[in-house]
Amino acid sequence: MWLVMLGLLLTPAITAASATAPLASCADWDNRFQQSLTRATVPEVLRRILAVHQDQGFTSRFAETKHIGLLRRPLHSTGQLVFIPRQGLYRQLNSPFQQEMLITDRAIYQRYAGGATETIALAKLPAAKAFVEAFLAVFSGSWDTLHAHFHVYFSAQESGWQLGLKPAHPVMAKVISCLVLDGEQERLVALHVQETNGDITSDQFLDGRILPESQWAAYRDRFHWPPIE
Amino acid sequence: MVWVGILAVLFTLSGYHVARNWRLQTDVLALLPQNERDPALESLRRLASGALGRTALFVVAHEQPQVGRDATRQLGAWMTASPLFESVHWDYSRQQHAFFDLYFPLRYQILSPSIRRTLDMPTGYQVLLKRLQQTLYQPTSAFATRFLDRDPLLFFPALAQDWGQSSIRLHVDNGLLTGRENGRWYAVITAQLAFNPFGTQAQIDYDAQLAKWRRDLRQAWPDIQLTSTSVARFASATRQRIHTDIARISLGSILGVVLLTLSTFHTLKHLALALLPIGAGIWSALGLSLWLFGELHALTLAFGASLIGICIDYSFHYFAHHRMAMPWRPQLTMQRLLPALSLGALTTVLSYLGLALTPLVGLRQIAVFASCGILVSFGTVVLCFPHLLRQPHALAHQPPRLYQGAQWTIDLWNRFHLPLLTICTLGIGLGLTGLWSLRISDSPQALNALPQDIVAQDQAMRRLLGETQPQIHLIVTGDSAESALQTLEILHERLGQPPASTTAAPIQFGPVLTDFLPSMKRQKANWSATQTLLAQRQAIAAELVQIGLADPSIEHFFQTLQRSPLPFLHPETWLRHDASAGLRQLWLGESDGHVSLLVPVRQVHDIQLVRDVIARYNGVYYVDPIEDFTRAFKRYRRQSIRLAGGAYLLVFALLLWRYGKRGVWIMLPPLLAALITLEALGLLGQTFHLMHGLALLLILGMGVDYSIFLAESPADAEPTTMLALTLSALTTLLSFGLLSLSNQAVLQAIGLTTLIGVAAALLLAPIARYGRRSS
Repeated sequence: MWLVMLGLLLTPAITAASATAPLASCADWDNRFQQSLTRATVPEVLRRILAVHQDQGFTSRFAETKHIGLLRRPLHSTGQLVFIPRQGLYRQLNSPFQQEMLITDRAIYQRYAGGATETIALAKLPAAKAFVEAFLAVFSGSWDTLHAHFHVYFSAQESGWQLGLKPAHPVMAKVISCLVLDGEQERLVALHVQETNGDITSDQFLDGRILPESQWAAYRDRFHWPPIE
Repeated sequence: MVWVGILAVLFTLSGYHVARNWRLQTDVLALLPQNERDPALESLRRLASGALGRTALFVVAHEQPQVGRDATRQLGAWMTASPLFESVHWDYSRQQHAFFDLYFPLRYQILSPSIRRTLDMPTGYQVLLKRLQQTLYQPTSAFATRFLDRDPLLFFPALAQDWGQSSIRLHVDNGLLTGRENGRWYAVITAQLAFNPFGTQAQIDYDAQLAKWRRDLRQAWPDIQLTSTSVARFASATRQRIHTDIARISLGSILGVVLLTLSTFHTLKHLALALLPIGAGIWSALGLSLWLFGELHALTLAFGASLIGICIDYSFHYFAHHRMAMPWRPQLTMQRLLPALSLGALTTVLSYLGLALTPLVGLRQIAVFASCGILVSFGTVVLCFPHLLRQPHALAHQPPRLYQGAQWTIDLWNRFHLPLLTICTLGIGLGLTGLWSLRISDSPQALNALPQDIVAQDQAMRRLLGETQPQIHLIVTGDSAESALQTLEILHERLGQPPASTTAAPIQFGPVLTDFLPSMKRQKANWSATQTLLAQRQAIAAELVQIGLADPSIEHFFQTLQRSPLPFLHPETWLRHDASAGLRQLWLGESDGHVSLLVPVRQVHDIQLVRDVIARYNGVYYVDPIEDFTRAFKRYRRQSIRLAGGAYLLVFALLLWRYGKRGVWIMLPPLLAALITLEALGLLGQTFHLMHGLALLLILGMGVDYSIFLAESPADAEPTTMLALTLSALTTLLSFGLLSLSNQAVLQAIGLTTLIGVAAALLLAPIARYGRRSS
């Protein structure tokens, strides 16, 4: 059936050979991480980090570098993102052009510089929905949510820590090879996403900070979009 | 002797037809009217229902996906190897590639409508480049950029996104079509049955095979859940229920006849004789119906079983006189009874033949079956019984208890006829509230009583697939495939988009064939539209370089763009290709020189606009079976009421001609019985539909019998006649009472209506004597 098309687009077997990725988030995985964690084996450091983020919002300016194998040079962009639990992830691109995006577990909303908006309901796009849910899970700070979508790995050094995530959902696994979150103490510093075709996106969080519930109201307007039918 | 000869011929012919042509039809649609307005539409509807009717859906569910996958693959393999299926779709791993193989090379000919609209704009290329940039910077860019080097303007991802938006709630996981609901993983298998879903033997084989697969799967994976839905399952359940009805009604009626015969007439000879006209009548009716219709509807058979209660009437009348007569004159008794028996049989047959005047095929069959059964029973009683029952009854001097009851009833009516009539009038007057509260429905769903568990399972499965109104569809026809596809494209554009003033499209289509198989005209126009990009080659190339795409990729893009289009996608190619698997039912094929396409509909928001638009095109049909049948049933219900009214008038005229003014009294019991029946139906909260209307004819047929018998009876023989009537009515009430317990709404309606009506007609029958007394 036609609905397989999204799956088709994600099938590595028929993709073009990807160019060599400059960074390799998933490379050397076994040396960087030990075996995947269970609730019982979650280290104390990670417990503390998760506890700090659980049920909290998050905001940061970001600088993104995207390495697409089929392009000769990386794509750079900057902007700001705001995550509020149960409301979604708001992402404002400031350069190279203006674009607003709200990702919720029901839809992806986009607003361009001219004011034109686009809504993609996720109900009929299971692959995209799986991707979005997993993406939102990264910011949730909840072990259960993370573990529902990923095989979770963790390593900590003096300089900081890394949370490695490998998709558990087969649909998601067709798109994403791994995600790695870099952090220092309880602070989130960077997010690296490596796709199955080798493309890598790295977001540096320039001034990441936790948003307690008392501050959510200040961002309310960014989460108000036309309802989907 | 002549009659014995006729019976022998009828028996032989029936034996021949039963042995050779025995085919039991369980399709409830066979009861419904043929569309006499548009034979072409009827044939298309059959084509569509054939295509849809053979589709079977299977859902395998388990909490653990891997277990579910293993079980689904096993079931898929079994089904593929089974001769029960023409085709089975469960392995979608190749189809992913099939889609890509077919459509990616055609990306300049088969375009997403949004891309096509953009290309038609003067600055379309700029919009496409901007769209590319916006996509590249999105976190979800992975969904679109896999083929960037070969499709830099993202034509193919746009097409795939359109298909995704029209998709159901499933996705492909490890080559299986899967989804999740309530925490359970499930996979869907679709199949086309290789057999007629209404064929009895095939249904039995199918059910047995399904049960075996379910057992085998559970043996290997204990918690696996397998559900399925198909017309065959509904038909099979209906058949089984009708078989239960037939068995219950036949056994119950025969048992009633045996008990009444033995308790009243006390001899095995009476019992054997009582069964003779029943057997002869029903066996002949079977043969005649098979000869005339080529098959027998299961409903006819169930209804025919209730005929036992009517066929026994003539025997009981003769037996009642034999039981009481001293001295016994067999021929003379028959001669005296003949006018009443003949008139009774005539009115009953007339009332059944009224059913034959309706356009409902199933009812015509019932009418022929019943009329034949009654006539043969009547003939057998009249012509054979005087020869077979020559000796007086041994207990003629000792009246049976029922006789005393009959005498008591006659005495009661003789003594208290005024109070009784007053009570009747008051009762009927009070019952008028029931008449006012009687609800009327013409929906075919009121006639449809499918097993709740199967209906619930079917609805649950259709919900998983996102189907909301599976019955409604459009049929688009054309002189050629090209013209049909072009019409569909126009309709899709007109009806699938919201009009300027509203937000909802008039109609929400299911998968539309032209999204996968556009017309030649559309493919050529799409390709021409893409050629406008060549005029902006420099600007596009510069922008793609700026984005970072390699020069060879850009060069390759323009080379493929300016190349002559590939051979356009023809229906023959599409139908043969793996990519069309699961969509081929949208292509109904050629019939009578026309190509027909099926267009499933999910939701209708503006039916009037839909009808207005469709009316502008030849060969486009909006098919809503429920609405069509409701309209037809409304017409037939009104016809049936007119028919019943006409029959009552006809019988009344016949009675006036035969009896003069006495005819008014004779007519009164069946007329009041019909009124009481309607009141009772209202008070019981029944919904009146076509079948209740037709059952009024049966009340007339039997009710007038009772009146005539009593009217024709000499005063001294009234208790004997009343005894015969009581015996007849008891068997009739038993037969129709059992019919009213049927699971089939059609039979239940006829059974209940006739049960109430016949009971009322019997109780009121003594009124028929008053005319005679006054005259």
